[in-house]
Amino acid sequence: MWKWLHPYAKTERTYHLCQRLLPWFSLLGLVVILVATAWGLAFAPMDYQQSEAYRIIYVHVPSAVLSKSLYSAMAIAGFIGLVWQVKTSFMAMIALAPIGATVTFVSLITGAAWGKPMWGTWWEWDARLTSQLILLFLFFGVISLYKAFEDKQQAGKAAGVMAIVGVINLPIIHYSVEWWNTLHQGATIMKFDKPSMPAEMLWPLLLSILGWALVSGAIFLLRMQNEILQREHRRPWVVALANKSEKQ
Amino acid sequence: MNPRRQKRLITVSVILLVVGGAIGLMLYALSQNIDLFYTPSEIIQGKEGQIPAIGQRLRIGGMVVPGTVKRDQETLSVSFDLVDTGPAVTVSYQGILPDLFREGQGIVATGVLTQNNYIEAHEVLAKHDEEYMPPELAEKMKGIKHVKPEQASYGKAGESE
Amino acid sequence: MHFEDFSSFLDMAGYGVYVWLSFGCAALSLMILWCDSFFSKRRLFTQVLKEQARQARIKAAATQSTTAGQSATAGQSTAAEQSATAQKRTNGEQV
Repeated sequence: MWKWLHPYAKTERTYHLCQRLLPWFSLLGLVVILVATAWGLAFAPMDYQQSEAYRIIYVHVPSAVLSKSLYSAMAIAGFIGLVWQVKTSFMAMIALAPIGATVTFVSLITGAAWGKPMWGTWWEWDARLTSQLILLFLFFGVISLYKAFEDKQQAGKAAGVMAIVGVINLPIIHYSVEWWNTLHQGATIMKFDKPSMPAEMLWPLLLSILGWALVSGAIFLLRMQNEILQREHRRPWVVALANKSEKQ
Repeated sequence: MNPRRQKRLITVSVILLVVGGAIGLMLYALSQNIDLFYTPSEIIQGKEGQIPAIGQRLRIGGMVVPGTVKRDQETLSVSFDLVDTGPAVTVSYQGILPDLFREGQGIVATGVLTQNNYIEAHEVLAKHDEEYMPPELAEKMKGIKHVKPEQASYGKAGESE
Repeated sequence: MHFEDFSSFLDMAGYGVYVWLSFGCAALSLMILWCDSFFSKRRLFTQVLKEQARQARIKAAATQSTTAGQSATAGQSTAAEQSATAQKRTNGEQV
């Protein structure tokens, strides 16, 4: 009896945990991202070479950093789901995928808008740019593979394998600027020695990365709840929740 | 095999094929670009013992030598010397240069080698480093004054003091 | 404040198009993603309620058909519909 009940109790608990965390992530994320963006756009000094165009860094870098972190998180979730057969882990994986795809898309678009005035081209088949585009396709692959299966446990397994295989792209993205002759410059903050930026430019950048992470976290919590609701839509606790939300 | 399974097999194969194909094509495009990259000294002295042939399409990456930028006032044609650690290579180009194009700036140009040290470029891209700093700090640390692109005077000495 | 006035802030030293394109695209993408996540939660709840109503209707129809014998007619199905809405109402009061 307990063994039969256990998995259902777990998803219900996860749902309520998400519900409790959601307002914190949403509110904090919104405040931090707005403050950081305003700081970066209007208060940080301009760059000696790129003048005001460098301000694109305050969306480009956070989205690029988040794209890699979200992919790692998604692959880890897929791995846990595959090895320990945890149902909620696959749900987390598929909740993360669209968020990752969106931030990867943003990083590519902002990169193009930055490259046009500075480098002189919207797009170049450069190692860094190409590997980031491959990351976007990997996110698409995971999402569409998951959708291709009717049985969601099987879908999770297939998408999980793809997510894990794609992890090989992450070090390629990171080291592409060192391994190849790229148009893209080297890392500014993600290196072991001192970042190549003074504090008054660095602080809004770090803050905006935090803001993007919090907002992604909030969206993840929402999507995780949605996955749970979709999977457990016949459980009494879900029906009770639906009735409650209808009344509000 | 029942029809549902067959349908799923086809869908999964198509997804894998599309994703795999897209990634393969990108890597192909990437390898095409990586192999053709030369520095000025590699063009003249050879890369791994091989000097590029005249008429070859290639990319060159180097630094614009200060004082070598010559601009034709009527047409948009520009010529400048590129250098890394060894001898310089002259690049000629007709078109609009990127805003970051300055003397002393890192440049990547794509074009055809017409003489052993002369390239006719059809694309000039500017490369910048990962350092960002306010103009005042740059002036203090490096002695570089920020010049707005439209105020830059190529050909005249004295942009970087 | 780094900029002297609002128009120079918008202009971004001539790079306004690129800077605002980047920030606008980022804001729009995040907003679309958030809206999709938020509204699909609502949609899921309404789906759950619909499913529940349908289940109730089937249940009601089944109990009615056992009392009235094997043959189910059109008149009975409207009766089932009424009992289903009645059940929905009681459900709403329970919560």
